[in-house]
This record gives sequence, C-alpha cells and structure tokens, in this order.
Amino acid sequence: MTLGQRTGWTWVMALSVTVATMVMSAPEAVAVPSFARQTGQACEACHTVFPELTPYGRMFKLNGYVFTNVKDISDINAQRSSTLSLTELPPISLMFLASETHVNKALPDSSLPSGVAQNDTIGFPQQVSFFYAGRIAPDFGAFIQLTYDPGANSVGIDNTDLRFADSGTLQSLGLIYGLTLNNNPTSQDVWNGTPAWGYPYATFRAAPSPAAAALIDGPLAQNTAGATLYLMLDKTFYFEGGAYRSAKVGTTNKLLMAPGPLDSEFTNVIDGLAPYWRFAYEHPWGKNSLEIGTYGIHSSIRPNAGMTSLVTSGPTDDYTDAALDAQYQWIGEDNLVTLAATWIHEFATRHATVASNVNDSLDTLRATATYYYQRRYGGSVQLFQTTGTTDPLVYPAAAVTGSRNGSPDSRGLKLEFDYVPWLNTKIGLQYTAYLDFNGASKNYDGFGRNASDNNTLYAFLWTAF
Amino acid sequence: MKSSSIWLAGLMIFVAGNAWAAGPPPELAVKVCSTCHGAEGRSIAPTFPELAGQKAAYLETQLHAFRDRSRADPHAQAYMWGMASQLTDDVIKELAGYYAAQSPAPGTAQDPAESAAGQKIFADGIAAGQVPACATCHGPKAEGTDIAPRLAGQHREYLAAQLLAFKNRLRANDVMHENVKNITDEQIREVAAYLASQ
Repeated sequence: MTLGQRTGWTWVMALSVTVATMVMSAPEAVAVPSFARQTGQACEACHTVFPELTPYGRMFKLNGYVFTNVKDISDINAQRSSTLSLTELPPISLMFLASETHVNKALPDSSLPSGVAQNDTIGFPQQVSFFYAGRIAPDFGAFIQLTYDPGANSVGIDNTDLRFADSGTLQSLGLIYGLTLNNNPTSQDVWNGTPAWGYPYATFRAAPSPAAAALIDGPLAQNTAGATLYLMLDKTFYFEGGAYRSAKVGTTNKLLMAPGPLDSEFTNVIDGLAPYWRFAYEHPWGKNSLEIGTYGIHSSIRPNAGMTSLVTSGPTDDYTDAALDAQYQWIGEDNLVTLAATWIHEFATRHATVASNVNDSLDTLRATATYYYQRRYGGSVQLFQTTGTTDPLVYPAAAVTGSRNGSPDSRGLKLEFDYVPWLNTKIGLQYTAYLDFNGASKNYDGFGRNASDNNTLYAFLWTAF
Repeated sequence: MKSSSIWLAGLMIFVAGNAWAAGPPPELAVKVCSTCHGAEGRSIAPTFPELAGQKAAYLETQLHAFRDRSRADPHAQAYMWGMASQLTDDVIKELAGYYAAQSPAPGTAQDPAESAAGQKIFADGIAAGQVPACATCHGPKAEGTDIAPRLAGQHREYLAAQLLAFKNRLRANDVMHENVKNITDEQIREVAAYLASQ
C-alpha cells in the first residue's frame, strides 16, 4: 500500500465513521411545554431546570404522562368505565436548538486532503423537534418526538415512549405500575444519571467525539423497540424488566426500494431479543432525594453492513452492559443542586466482527455536578472517562476519528454556564476539554492531531414552546 | 337545654369532620394529591404543606382560591392553579373533609432558642412591630380555628415562605398583610421554628 492509497483509504474510513457516528448519535431531547399545558402546572413542578426531573416529575412520567387539568372529550360505557378521554387541545410542542461550535483546531476538510474545514460551525437549527407529549386515554400516555436533523436534511423518529400505567395501594403501600414501549434503552428512565436523559442535555455535533461508546450509551437509540414492565413501590423501590429488539428507522430494502425487513443495510441489528433490567432505590427526605440503582442490557448484535458477509446470519457480537447509577438532588427555593453519576461496564465477545481480541471490555464513567440559583443562573461540571481493552481492529487508525494505538481511552471534562431567562428557554456556553482522546494525549490519531485540538467551545440557544 | 344543643351540634360537627375515617380515601387524593402532599396528607418535601389534620374550611377556601387564581404566590401558580382548575365544588368539599379527618403530623425538633423566641411571638405578638399574637386567630396550640388554619407541625420552610409571601403581598390576604407588615426575617424564622416544633 502506497502512502497515497493509505491516505485515500483512511479518508474513506474517517468519513464513514463520521457519518456512522452522526447517524448513531441521539439528538437531544427536552422537557415539553405540552405537559405544562395539559397539567396547568409550570415547568418547575416537574423539572429543576429542563430536562432534569424533580421527584414530582418522576411520578408524572411513571404515571404515564396522564395527569391532566384541562377539559376533555370523554365517553363512558354502560358499566361507567371510561372509554375515551381526549384533551380538547392536543398536547403538542415544538423545540428549537440553535448553536455555534468552535473546535480548538479546525478539522480537516472532508474531501480535500490538504484543506481545512471552516471552523465556528453554525447550527441554525442544530435541531428542531416536534412533540406529542401527554395523555392519549385515561391510563395511556405518550412522549413522541420527531426531530429534524439538518445533517441528513430529514425528519426522523427521536425518543418515543408509550405508556400504560396505573396506581393504587397495597396494604397502605403506594404502587405505580405500567408498561412502556420505547425506542431507546433508558429513555424510559426517570433519573438523570442514565444515558438517554443524562448530562450533557445539549451538546455539539459539529466537533469530534470519542469513538468508543457502550451499546446502551447511545448506539441502540432509536433503532430498537423495547417493551418493559415496571413497578414503583412506595415511591422507594423501582423494578423494571423487559427486552429490546431491532426496529426499522427508515432503512430501505434494496430489492423493494421501499421499507422492508431488516437486512445488511442496517446497523447494530439485535439478534432476537435483548433483555433489559433496571432496579433503583430512592430515598427522599426534606428537600433532598437520593437514588442509587443498576441497569443494563445483554444483546447479541449483527454488526454493520460491509464489515462482514455474515450480517444477517451466523455468529454475533455479544455485549453485556452492566451499569450503576446514582443521583442526589437538593431542591431549595433559591438553590438547586444535583449530583449524578453512572458507571457502565461493557463486556464484549466479538465473533462476527474482525477484532484483535475475542473479548474486550469498556468502562465508561461520568460524574456531573449541577447548580442553579433561582432556576435562572447556573451550570454544570462533568468529568468523563472511557477506558477499555486495546483493540486496533475495533478502534483503527483514522484521521481525527481514529486511534493510533487502538485504545478506546478518552477522558476530560465539560464545563457549562447557563442562563435561563424563562423556564422554557436556556442559553448556554459549554466548554469540553480532553486530556486523552481515542487512546492518547498527543498525536492520538496517528495523523498529528492532539487530544486538546478537539477541545470545543459550544454556545447554544435552546427553547421549547 | 341550650347546653345540650351545643353539645349535640359539637358532636355532629365531630362526626362530619371525621366521616372519612371510616371510608376509603378519595381516588384523587390517592392518585394525584399524594404525589406531592404524601400519603394521607403528610408530605416529605417542605415545598408542599402538610394537609393532614388541616381545617376543612381552610382547605376548601384555598382550593377555591387556587381554582379562581386569587391565591397567586409562586408555588400556587406553579403547582396548584392547574391542579385545582377542574375541581368541582363537591370534589373540593370531599378532599377537604378527607384531609381534615387525617391525624396531623407531629412536630419536628427545632433549635430551642429560636423556638422559644417564636413561642413568645406566637403567644404575645410583637408590640413594637404591630404584629398581633398569632394565637388569637390560630388557637392557643396553633391547632387552627374556624377562621384560621392549623399551623402546628407544618413544615418550617413552608411557614416561612408563606409569611414572607404575605409580607411581600405575593399571597392575597388583607388581614395577614397588615399583621406581618413589619415582621423581620429573623422573627419569621423564629415563629416558623416554634410552629414546626409543635
């Protein structure tokens, strides 16, 4: 292989990885004013500052988004059982996220090998989302998000959660129980240490992000469908279990040129069912609440098209993601403090993907401290770290997005300042600094780029109405 | 004769006030109100007041005030305007009766010095500040009366927030506006500590 060939191949790899990363990365989701319109309650009832939930917000979600305080169109049968309860105004909302992204060192141009891409990327919008979020029927509610992605110039399905829920008492213990159908493992969760609703709530897409991520930490988002049963006992013990299966998100079947069965065009196809579990303990006292828990998923994956001929049959890559999470909240009148953390351990056995090792592990740790004064001024600090087995075939060299030494190790911190002029609008400035990126601090990609070159300043305006 | 009529009337009020002790709680109380106000109206977070043992007449008045938006302090707007907007008069009466019939939460330990200072304000008022004795309307043990709510055992932070809301005229009540117009932050802390300890 000549240098020219290698460079050309590397560019193709880099571009494909970048595209794959963009496709896989879950767009930001948000608290929705349609809930406020339905309940007649201000955002602060359910959120400290959106999208983080208060204890009441957690109960609202577990109860299936059905609390309503508006007039509805209703019907009953002869047994006085409710057969319809539609809110007069549909619970719909719009979210708009605009941003500016400055990378410490401009990225190489994607098609001109010697060129440099323009820095200071404007996202206007970075994302626009449409929501139906609220009650559908007496014990049936939904959070459905459609998102316009300017990268693909298309509208696609985003976090979606349909819930059947009810509540009652068992020997004076309060019970909330239900079934959720959703498309992103942990999107149904009510604590903010877990991946789908964890910090950062808004972040850049126009700058590099570390290559390695556990499956439950984003890659399965929006291309799976899961059904889980849950039970909250006495607002203290939370149990949830169920399974996920791959679901289509607009992939076209080549033969039909129309939506068809999942085939080699698809990414991260789950073979059969992937069991998901969640247990959490919450203890509220005074203005405080403390949660500790565990969650995880075991999945057998048919990996990416083009990587192997055995895409829809034969061996699989097996992943077990086992995670711990914790969250502490202090919600005062003027001061609000949240500490949230998660640790995800992923054990991977790759039989389908060509890898240097059959068994790899990956550990992700994130710890975030958030403070707001009067829900108006505040911010967050997050320390993040991903470490794992060195595997040059899983983490290959590529300019910007690759790893020179095959290591997935990345670590750094995020620092964010927010101004929240109104409870449904956030203006933020976020700085991300990397100590290591894809395995090294200096020349991490083998093309001379340093981890600190990817340090990113991100300014955003985020509003929902 | 007159005396026995009073006793009979008293007994009837007692029976009516405790009617819920025998029946199941209203569904709304179990499924919705309890989310913030706790099981049987004993809340955990001080943002949300204790309702157990509160005077039914006071609870009714407040739910009506939330419904017609005449009570407009910040948390009333954020939480209760919506919650109360569709309540009928009958449901309001039912909820008020239910919570009034529940056993009130016991007082919580507070700083003894603050509590003692608060007790003096509660019993004697503050002459220099033209703050009348709270006990005059709220009862000698802050248990509430026909015209004023129970304060004993209420969350300290909630009590302090209400006194501040009256002082700043964020919460409507002409009598309380006048009563606390000169109260200081320290005196608010003291009287709230005393009442929370009862």
